[in-house]
Amino acid sequence: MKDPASLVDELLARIRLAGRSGTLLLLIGEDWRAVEASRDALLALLRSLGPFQVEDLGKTSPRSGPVAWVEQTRARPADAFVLVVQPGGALAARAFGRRLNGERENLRGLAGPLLLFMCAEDERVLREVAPDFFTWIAQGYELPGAAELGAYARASGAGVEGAASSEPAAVAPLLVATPPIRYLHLSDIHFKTDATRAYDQDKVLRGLLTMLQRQRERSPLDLIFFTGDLAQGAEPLEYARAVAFFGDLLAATGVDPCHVFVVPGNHDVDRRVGRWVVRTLDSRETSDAFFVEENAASRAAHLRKFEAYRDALAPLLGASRPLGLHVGAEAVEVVEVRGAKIAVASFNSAWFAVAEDDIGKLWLGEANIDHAADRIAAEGPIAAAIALMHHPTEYLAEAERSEIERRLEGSFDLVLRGHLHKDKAKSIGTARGGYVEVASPAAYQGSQWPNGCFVGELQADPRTLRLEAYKFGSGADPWALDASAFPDDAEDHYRHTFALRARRAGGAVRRALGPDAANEIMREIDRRGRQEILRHAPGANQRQGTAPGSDTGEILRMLERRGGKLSPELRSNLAERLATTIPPPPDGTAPWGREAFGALLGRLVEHWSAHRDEWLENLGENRVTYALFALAFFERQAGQPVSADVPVGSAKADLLIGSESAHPEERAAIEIPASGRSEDGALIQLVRIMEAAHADLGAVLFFRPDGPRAVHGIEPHGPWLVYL
Amino acid sequence: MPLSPEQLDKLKQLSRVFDPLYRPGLQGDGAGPSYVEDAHHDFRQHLAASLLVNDSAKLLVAGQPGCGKTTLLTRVAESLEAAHRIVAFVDLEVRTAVQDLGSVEMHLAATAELLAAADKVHATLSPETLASIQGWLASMGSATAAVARELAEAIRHLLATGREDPGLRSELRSVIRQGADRDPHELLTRVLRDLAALRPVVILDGLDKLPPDQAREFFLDEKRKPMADAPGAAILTIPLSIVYEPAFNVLSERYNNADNPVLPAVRLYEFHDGTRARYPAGFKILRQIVEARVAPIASGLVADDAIDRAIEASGGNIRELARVVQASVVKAVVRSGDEIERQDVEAAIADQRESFRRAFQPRFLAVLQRVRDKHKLDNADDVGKLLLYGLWVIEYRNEEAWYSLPVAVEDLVRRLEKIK
Repeated sequence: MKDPASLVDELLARIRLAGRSGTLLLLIGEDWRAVEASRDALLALLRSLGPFQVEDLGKTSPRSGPVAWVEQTRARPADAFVLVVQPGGALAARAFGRRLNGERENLRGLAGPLLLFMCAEDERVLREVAPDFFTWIAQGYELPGAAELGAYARASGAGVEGAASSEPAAVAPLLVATPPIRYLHLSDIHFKTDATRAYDQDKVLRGLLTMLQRQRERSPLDLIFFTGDLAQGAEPLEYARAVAFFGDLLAATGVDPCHVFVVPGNHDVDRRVGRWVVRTLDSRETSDAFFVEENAASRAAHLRKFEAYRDALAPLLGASRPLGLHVGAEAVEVVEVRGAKIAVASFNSAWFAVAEDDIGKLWLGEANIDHAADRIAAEGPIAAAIALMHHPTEYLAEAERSEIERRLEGSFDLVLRGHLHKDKAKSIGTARGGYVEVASPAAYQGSQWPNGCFVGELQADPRTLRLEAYKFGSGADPWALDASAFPDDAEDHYRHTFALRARRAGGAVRRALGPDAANEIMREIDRRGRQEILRHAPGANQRQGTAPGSDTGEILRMLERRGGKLSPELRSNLAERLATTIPPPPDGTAPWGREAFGALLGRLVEHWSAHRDEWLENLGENRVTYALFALAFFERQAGQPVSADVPVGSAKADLLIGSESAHPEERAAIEIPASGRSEDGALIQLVRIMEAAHADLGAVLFFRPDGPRAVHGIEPHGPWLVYL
Repeated sequence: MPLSPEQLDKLKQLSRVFDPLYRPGLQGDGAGPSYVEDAHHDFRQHLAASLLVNDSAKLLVAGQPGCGKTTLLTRVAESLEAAHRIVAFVDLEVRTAVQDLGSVEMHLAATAELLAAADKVHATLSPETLASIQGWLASMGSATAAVARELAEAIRHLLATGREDPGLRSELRSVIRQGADRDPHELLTRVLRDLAALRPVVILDGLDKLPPDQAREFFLDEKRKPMADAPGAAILTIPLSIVYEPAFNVLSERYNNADNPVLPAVRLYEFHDGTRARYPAGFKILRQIVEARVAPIASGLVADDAIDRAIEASGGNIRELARVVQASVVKAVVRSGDEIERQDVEAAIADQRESFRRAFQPRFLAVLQRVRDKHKLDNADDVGKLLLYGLWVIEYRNEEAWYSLPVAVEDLVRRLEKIK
């Protein structure tokens, strides 16, 4: 390392020689604190000793790079510029490095010497990712400590205020963000005992451990969640392997066993025991009885199905831990991470899991969720409330499904699940609140199949969840960031950030009023919330007669669940609701009543029934809703039939739902009649309605500044485009 | 004694022309004198011979950062033009968002440069070709034009907009799915066919800036290899990392020189029977490069033995040579010297060694020792790639590829061994 005098002499000589032409210099500190302190001291010294104007450009954001730097230097003429490069974590540094490499040619446009400050670890990572960028740097220097620079300032009579002490005056304070709470979400390993599979499984999981160990130093994990199907057949020998893996996982990550949360899945059910107990519940009343904490006896028989699971995990993670086998308040654990309280409710969605026909037969229990929510609310301010379960809510019994979803929306920020072996992340927002649902792919299902997991970062202010998906690939370093999970988040290095919505204080209301009155009030809030949304939608003044409590979204959801097989009553009801929800054309003259809508919906349902597989299972309910609205809207606008059977990419495809790059079964194209197309602003109006009435789409909408020719939307799965 | 303003001014100029950011020609001071034809004589001969005998030659150029790829291609383009061939030199970094490059933008950029080149030499394009370009631009809602030069401008404008707008890039790429006739590859093919009599050559510079994973996808995963199916000749720069991918050999079917695409460093040593010996011709070439940049400022500003030592320190990499000379200029200014002496270069090498020391990782040592002792490097290995890109190890070729350490790294390895 150079002594302060030599370093300052060289830097002054370089600034002098550059004479406001571009050159790139690197200043490396041991760690961030050292960089900050030395930067401040050095900047003060350069300003004091040289006859130079040195501009402080602050800190570079991970989204900016050489292009932005050049602009900054051109906007503020000076003899030299100082910029701190802090990509924020090893992963971010990798993505940032690619930007440095890609944009480096622009550096030729620098308006003077640029002094880049970074810490040694970032330099190491960036050198690996962006070696070309580093060949453009004229010289790299190690930074002396702030105290040494201060002593030099005193000795040289530089008279730098603050530089004389070891705590130099801040030239521009550098904000160091509080590290987010970082968690790992794994699911569905299905440990088995046969040797061939064990070898393959070991290969995949060893790779995962290696990756986690490597990340540990830079980005240590705080929490680990496992959402079910630890074993394949709930055999003790399978759990022995699972426990060995968890032991290794704890060692690799350094996470405290108390910060590891596990719930069982359907493969953790000992089906030999299961055949002697009741298959499922038959009503909400029996559910209330089953899921009340005090009624442990009712669950005792079912608990026996999870004995092997519990006996294996309890010694490792803690004998009193819920492990998904408790209910209500007892299912909740509150842990503290760097002063932030995190509430985790471990729900067992597999109480009634028996076989492949579980769909529609599982119960989580409204009382179970209510009491857990009360427990969380009683905790006071918490940073995040997380619900764990194995199954998606579609597996729950029809009688409780929407109520469970409603409760989750009001009380949890995050719902983590597994089961389908397919990664999925979506934000669900309604008038009641909302949550981010994250389905982890299988962490192991055979090296020839996709194996993956999620790592999430919870940030307190603003409340966000940033997700990064990992998948198992090949080579010496097989686990890598899965760019295909969030393909449109290249800007954020293929990580997607969800805003977490405000939770409603359902628990407090319930405690104050008792459960029955509270439920009634929550329903009223819910109803009013929806009405409020509809009132603000375009054309609301036409809908004075909307019946309270029955909105299009609800009806559509019912429609979707039934997969298009509608009773005449429901179809008629749906037609009426849509007729009152979708606005008439601007002049209000189009003859569009219940009858016309009924006919349209008849055709829609017919089409839907014929293409149910593509529409319902692959498009997902949000896109189906979108498609239905779009069809209805344009038929109404145009008074002519709309076709939903046009090929994507053809000239006929006026409206595309889903992304063009998506698999054909994951998108839909709609042809809009010519007169509908000619309506100025019709598209914008449509999008606004969909946005307002269906906040649960989780879509971000924006309009291109150059007019309504194309409208882009982004949702976690990928962009969708609507263009006319 | 302090430097006079005149002396300082000379040193300022010297510092500028040896900055790693400096590109001869770009700054309007003429590229000619600062590049010497002999620097990559053999490689260039190979390219020239292929282009001479094969009007559909598809050639690749890879090399360590700063080895002179772009400069070489600029010279190749100049000599092709002198031979009255039509050349489209496409700087993808200028025209596109190269870190997120799609084949659509690549084909459009090539089409635009070909149109501009055709206009320059008054070559005519068929009315059908012009109409298809006009139709394509109109279908994108872009302004269109009647003549080749204006069409080139319209495409450049579209690309410039796409450069800043991922949404537009995505729309541009979606046209491929609307049928082969909407694919800009078709436009490029038409233009190349029209110009066939002028033996067109498309030079795509900047593909070497693709991030490694995207480069892999672009060259190894995609069925249609870049430019391989287009008529006419093409030269593409590619990232060095691709060359060391196990699947690289599949490219040999589609590109004529895929068995030898690496532009090595200027050879400072000859390699025979496992030993290296100084190669005076290499030193001479690099000396000419330094002198070509120094002479317009003031001959003799850099002492002879200083140049020699700087060349040794560069390992034969032209950008590294520039960096060492510039660092030596700084050293001279700090000691108030008015010319660059050997002692300044030695001080610069010491700094260079410290930079390597800072970036050193223990896993490098065994590999560096093997390079020093055996002149071999396991390139496929991650460490190997890292060392090549970081210029810890320099790649040379005389007949076969072999490797050597620059002075500062050799010095560092010796010190590390002593500590051990």
